[in-house]
Amino acid sequence: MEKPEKIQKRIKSISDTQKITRAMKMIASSKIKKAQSRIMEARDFIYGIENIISDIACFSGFISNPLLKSPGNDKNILIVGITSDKGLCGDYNSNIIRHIENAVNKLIGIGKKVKLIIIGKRGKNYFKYIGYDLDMVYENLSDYPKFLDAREISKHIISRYVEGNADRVLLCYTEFINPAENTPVIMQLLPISNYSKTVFRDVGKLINSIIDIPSDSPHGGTENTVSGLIEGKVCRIFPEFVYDPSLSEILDAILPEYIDSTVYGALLDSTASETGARITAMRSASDNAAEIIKELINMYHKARQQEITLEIAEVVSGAGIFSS
Amino acid sequence: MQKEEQKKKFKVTVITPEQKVFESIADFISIPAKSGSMGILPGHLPVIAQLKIGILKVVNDGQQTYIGVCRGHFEYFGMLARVLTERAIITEYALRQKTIEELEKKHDITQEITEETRKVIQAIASLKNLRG
Repeated sequence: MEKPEKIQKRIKSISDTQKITRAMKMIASSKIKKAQSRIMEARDFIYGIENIISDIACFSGFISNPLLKSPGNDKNILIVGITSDKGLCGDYNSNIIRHIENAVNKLIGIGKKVKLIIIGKRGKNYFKYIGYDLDMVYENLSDYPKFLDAREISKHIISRYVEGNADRVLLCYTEFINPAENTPVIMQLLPISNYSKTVFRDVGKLINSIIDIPSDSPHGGTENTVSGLIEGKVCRIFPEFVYDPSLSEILDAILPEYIDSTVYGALLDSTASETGARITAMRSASDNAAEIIKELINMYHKARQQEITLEIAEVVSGAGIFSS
Repeated sequence: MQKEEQKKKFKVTVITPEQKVFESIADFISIPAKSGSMGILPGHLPVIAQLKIGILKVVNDGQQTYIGVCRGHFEYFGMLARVLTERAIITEYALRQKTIEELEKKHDITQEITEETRKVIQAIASLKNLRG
């Protein structure tokens, strides 16, 4: 058995670690409320933008735009993956990285050329180590993403798409459900279609429903119009809108704004998921530390008792020698 | 009587990506549309307008509220006016010009920042690729 002094040192070291994990849990708990309220506020904005687009789509479906144009060959796929900058958040990073990797492998498997835009140091380090082709890396956004950051990223994505370097853009992020639950999802960011609002938990389903569309279908190889965005939805019955300055100018301005707000929403979801995952991870780390400390205290007492018993035995045997 | 009066009003919300800045009912609003100032009264035709930097005026029971908005979109549909803008500042009548100047200044700075950041990010990425 170890000496009591050594066990005491171990107890101190573990209780120090427990203090850190507790503090991290408390910090994450204080951050989660803010992150949740930011998601709610952003959802109002995103909903407003979507509403305007669907109203335009209902009444003026014939208008087209480069961001609605479906690719002809659909060869180059750009995947935007959102990971975190910091660790100590349980399986958050490994889950999203596995999801991105799964999507990349499946797309390569069906003969597509895949490029990656990675947000977050964790993802960057992993994909660089594996040797993937990284188109762009963004760091230090996961703590407090701003709308301006999202605009910066979406500007780059849109330029890549419009220049023809990417025929399709997919967005991979972690959807926030509640502080204890989050799930990695994938969605189509560009071209904007009625699929754009659908998030897929299973990469295979996304590939089946979006990538493998026959070219004679309205979503493949042809130019989509805004009416494609509201397929299967009921329009509000009302006279036509008055547009200022003009419908095409509004559409030119609002579609990039839609991409900005979708990326912003994904960044906020990922931040909240990371914080939630950190709370769970730090809570279980603190609990584990408490259990280990309990065991070590028992060990310490046993070792101390053993030492005392040994000392008493030595004293008694010494006294016996003297008396005899 | 009160209900009839309320029927003549409509709801106005000013939303930025970060927060809901303003929400109220109104008798009349004036928006800084791209092609000029536009007045909206209850029962107006549905409108979708692009906004420029300017002052949004909300009138409710004779009380006027001035809100500086920085670009964005406006939609009026079914007694609901929704202003979606990058930034919004609630201001006063006397401070309208100052608010517009502040918004324009900030807008220029952010544009510069994004351009500069883009260049820096691209430079860093190419350097990292070279090193890799």
